[in-house]
Amino acid sequence: MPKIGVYICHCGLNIASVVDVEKVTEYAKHLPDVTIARNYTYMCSEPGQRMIQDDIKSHNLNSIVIATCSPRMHEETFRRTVADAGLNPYLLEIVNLREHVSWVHSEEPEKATEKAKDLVRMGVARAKLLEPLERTKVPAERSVLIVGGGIAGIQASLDLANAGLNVILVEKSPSIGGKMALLDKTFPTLDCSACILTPKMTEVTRHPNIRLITCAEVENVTGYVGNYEVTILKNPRYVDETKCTGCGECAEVCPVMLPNEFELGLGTRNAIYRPFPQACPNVYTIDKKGVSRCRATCPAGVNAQGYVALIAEGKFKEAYELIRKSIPLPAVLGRVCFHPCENECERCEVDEPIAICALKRFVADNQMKQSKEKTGKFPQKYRKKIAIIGSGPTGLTAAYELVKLGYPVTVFEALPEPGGMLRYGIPAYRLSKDILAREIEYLQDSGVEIRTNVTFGDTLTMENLKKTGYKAIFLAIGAWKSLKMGIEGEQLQGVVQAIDFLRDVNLGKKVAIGNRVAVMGGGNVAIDVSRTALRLGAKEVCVIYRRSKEEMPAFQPEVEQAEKEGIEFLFLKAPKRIVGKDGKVAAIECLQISLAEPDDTGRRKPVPIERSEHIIQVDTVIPAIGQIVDTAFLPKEIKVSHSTIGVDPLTLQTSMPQVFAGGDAVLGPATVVEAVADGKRAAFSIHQCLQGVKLKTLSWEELTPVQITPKEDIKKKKRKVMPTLPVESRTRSFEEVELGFTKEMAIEEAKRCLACGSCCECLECEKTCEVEAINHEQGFQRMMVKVGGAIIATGSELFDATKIQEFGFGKSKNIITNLQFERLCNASGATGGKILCPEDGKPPKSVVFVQCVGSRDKRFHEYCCRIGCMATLKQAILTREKLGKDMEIYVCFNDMRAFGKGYEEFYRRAKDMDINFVAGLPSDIRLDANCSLHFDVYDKDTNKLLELRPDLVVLANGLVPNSDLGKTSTLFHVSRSTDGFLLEAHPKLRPLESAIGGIFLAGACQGPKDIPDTVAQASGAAAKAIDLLASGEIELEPLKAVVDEDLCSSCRVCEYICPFLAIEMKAESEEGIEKRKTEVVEAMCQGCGMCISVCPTKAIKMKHYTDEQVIAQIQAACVELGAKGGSSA
Amino acid sequence: MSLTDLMSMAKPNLESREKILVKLIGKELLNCFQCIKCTSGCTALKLLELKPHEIVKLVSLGFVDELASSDIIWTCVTCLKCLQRCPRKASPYHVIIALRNLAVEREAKVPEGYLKAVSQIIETGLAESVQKVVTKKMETFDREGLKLPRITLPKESFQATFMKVMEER
Repeated sequence: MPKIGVYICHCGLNIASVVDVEKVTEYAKHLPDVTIARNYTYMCSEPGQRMIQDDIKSHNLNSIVIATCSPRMHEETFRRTVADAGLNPYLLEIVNLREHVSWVHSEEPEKATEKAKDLVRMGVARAKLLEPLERTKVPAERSVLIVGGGIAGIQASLDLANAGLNVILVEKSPSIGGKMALLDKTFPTLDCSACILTPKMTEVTRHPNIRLITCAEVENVTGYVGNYEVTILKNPRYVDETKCTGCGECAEVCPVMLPNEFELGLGTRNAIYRPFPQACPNVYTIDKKGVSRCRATCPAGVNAQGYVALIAEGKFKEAYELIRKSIPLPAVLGRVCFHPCENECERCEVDEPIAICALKRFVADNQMKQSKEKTGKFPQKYRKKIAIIGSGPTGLTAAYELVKLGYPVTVFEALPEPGGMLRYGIPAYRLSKDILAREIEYLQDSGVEIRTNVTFGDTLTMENLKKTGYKAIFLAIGAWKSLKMGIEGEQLQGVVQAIDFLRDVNLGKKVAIGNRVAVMGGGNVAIDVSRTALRLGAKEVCVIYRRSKEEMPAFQPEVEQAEKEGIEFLFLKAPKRIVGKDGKVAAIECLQISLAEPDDTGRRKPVPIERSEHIIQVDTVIPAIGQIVDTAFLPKEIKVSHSTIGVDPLTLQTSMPQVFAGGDAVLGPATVVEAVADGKRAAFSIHQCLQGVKLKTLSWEELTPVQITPKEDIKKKKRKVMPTLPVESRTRSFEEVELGFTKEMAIEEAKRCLACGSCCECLECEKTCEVEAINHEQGFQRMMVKVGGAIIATGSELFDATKIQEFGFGKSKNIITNLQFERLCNASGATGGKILCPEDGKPPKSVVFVQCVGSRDKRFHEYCCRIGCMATLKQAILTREKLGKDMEIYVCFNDMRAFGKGYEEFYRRAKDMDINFVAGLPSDIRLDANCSLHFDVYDKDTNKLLELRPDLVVLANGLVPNSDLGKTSTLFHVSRSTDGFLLEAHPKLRPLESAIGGIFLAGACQGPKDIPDTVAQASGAAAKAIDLLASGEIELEPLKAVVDEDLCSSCRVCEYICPFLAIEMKAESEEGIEKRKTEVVEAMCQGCGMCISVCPTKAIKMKHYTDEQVIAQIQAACVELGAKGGSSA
Repeated sequence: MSLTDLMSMAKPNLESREKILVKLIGKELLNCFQCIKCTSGCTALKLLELKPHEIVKLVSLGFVDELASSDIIWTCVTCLKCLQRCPRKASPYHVIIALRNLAVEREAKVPEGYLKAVSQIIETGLAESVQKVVTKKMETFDREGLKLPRITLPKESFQATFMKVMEER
């Protein structure tokens, strides 16, 4: 038999001024099963609560209805009231007469009273069906996760750790300290920020109960209050935290300089760095953005950014060694490489690319000049001999790489000197024979054996190579056979094949050349041939090409040089026949060509124009239209397709086992760097094959280039051009045309590098670190931790003032933010604590502070930033103290807010220091033609329009939510308020908690805050966490879902829909039959009711919100409606 | 009303204030917190002493009649800086236009200079007539002397189109 007590609260006048509480009480008295109904001014007060308790005892009430404010406010209070009187606390129903009635219907008191009656009647209907429920206790982890290592996170960590709880402090950046570590002095006491913060930071690193994880972010959070499982992703810092001593020697040798984000654009740091001297942990970090494009593009994987950076620092030897790590022929490639790296150089977007290739030549030449000593042989590790056929760039590279790995290697060369195309194809004016000889000498010194004048196919065959113990044979035979044009007259005297011509010249043979030479083709060989012909004494040389200049495959700088030397280019012509006279060339007949639309390959097809034949008088014709591999001497077992040797693309193995091939013989005519890359590939492949290792792609071929970054701020600077021989003196000699950089030129050019990959991986730091703390291979690390709760202390960001265009931030360096000003003031900042104008480095004579930038502004953030006024007062005082009495200081403000303890006194102190306050904000800040700042501001105190011409403008930027706060909010299921910050559970009564159990908030992530407020909130949040977790167990609300096993069909829909992963399917075997059983994990169930709404068999019930209870309420609402004929809403 | 301006003994007129509010469709554009940005940047302040922040506050308080009959509201050159830069998204410009409309409704005297400018626009399409310029060294220049192209008068249909647009508004 229900005996219900109904209590109507006046809530002072909050409810009673609108709702006629007496009428409602009277109405309630006559409702069925209501034993007693009363009203009182403040039900939540001690007498109010005692009244209820007395009634429960004297009237034996077994269910209570309290019509008062929102249950979010006082349900917990009244549950305790009821429980203290001996009644189960869940036999209580709260009816909301304040938020749902009086506050929203204050204009219509009569209707409001009717609505109050309806709600009370509904409450009574439900109260009859309430069931007693018991709270359960679960064990809880006595540890807390703190997200963010600013002053809030630090304070909370220390408080918790001192109370004996375990703390896991996760910080995104390399050091804890947050924004406070950037500040100089703190208001209103002017104590030094570092002095009060650093001891706390150190204590965090030393405290036995605190585990500090820097460079890390929270990746995932699962579980429930008391038992959260957190996944933390630790980003690599490439330095072993346990070994690094913070000595800083690595930073001294690091060649890369970057803007220091901790100096907010006012200072620089190395790629290996410590954000500020007091950083905790005192450990260095390497900033790696990725692999620079130049390096990622290089077919041979040469670390271009690395050696350019070292050259900029004057470390030529180190640069040379870095190049040698990837390629054996630096001086050669420094001359003849077509440097695809330069096309990719990010500097192209600013002005011109870095002269990467010329820099390589400089270091290689410099090294040859500097050191006469011979390099030692690489130690031999293996006994399996390897034969390499051909001593071109591919063969030599493979030989060097294999010797480096420890194999005995013999290179066989058919011609008298080694070098292949490098010696016999490339003319000496591009690559001096001396340089080549010295590079080959280096390879020989390091253990490569070269036998010349041995032709493969003659005395040297596969069989006798194998017989003499060679375990692998690498064919790097090149492509030496010239393609024929296939026209009439090609047999005439005076027609010379390009490759034969170049080889004969380079062999030192006497080569007769006519007076008028026509070279056919548009590739690099054609250019080499034409320039060589000119040097041999030809009077007129022309290059005939069937397409136009744009389509010409030859390297453009070479073409330009050829043009300078007087070579004539005839485009859109194709030879028809060579005209002979007495068996000798007399002329060439050409057709004019027109180009058709581009075909599928994107090239425009040349179409001869009919009857356009014309004669060009020449006595020598050199076709240079391509080369193919001479495959005649290869054994039949080796498959040849399309005039090249067929190989497995990954292993470079031919159809004959243990026989490999590479270079032009496989690729067709390619560039030198491609040939070198193929040699490297072959060497690794042979090594892996001989060692029986599974083949994989090579590390340098997997590099992914760094993301492109904006480049607006980069100043243009001209690329250095190598000096060249004057044209007059070069056309009759084979002296090198390009002369190389001087030291000064090289350094200046190298300094143009943008260091787009940040760390260049030159590995200088690794060499210098005595404790071997550096690990460039360090990867991401994932860790799982179990915690009872978490405190979010991720802080805030500074408003981006570039959004307010009229204030010109970004247009002049002398317009700075308040945080930048802190760095200017700070002894550990870029200026060593001197206030200097960033534009010219001089101390300012006048400074203006402008308030409310980005805050109290509906266009951006409507809230007050709560720090701007006080920070400005402090900065104005510091300016006066540092720069003396002659300094002019103005503060343009709207309202001056000095509300905290000691703040108003601080404002007074500023006023006493002769700081001028202008009551009004400027409309805009303008720059003169000479970049000086000026603006007008109307002072409402004096009714005057003032013009100010300050040297420095400081904008009081407000605080805004972190750009990734959305991610944090999703991770922890914490909502955000309209201003974008994290939302507390109640603005007044629960400001330290989120609405999620065990998740607390501290500091500016919840709203803009100064240091005193932040520290107070952090300590408060820590106390809340201690309160929750110290006992090691947690009481859980009994409002959980329960499954009726008889009705459940195990369809698992509830399992999928549950957002808290609280439903588990348990397999059970009953009399040999497998049955799945649905179970609700009570500790994880949040009582949201999603499962109930989707359950097709209505097998799930929510305790305290059963269907019967809800339906009874609805019926109670409808019954009265019917009785009144629908007159009441 | 209990409020009196003791400098002029004027009293606010809430009816007139309501007329302005109707034109502004609510109080949104009067939502000023007196930061003075508008007046600091006002094009008409230096020579003509227009103070947008003052006008907005006076309208808020209800001193509308004095403004509607004053010359000051006609000095605004409608550059819209106050509207664009206002941190409250208020608009002194819209308030001034509303005051002008009220003035015209009440057949208040519109300053001659303003009317001249309007008639000039109708005649020539230009707000300012083409003038000669005298430098500090007392040299006189006209467009021809500076080799600037001649300004042509608008087409005949301009006036009719202009008037039509004005009526439609």
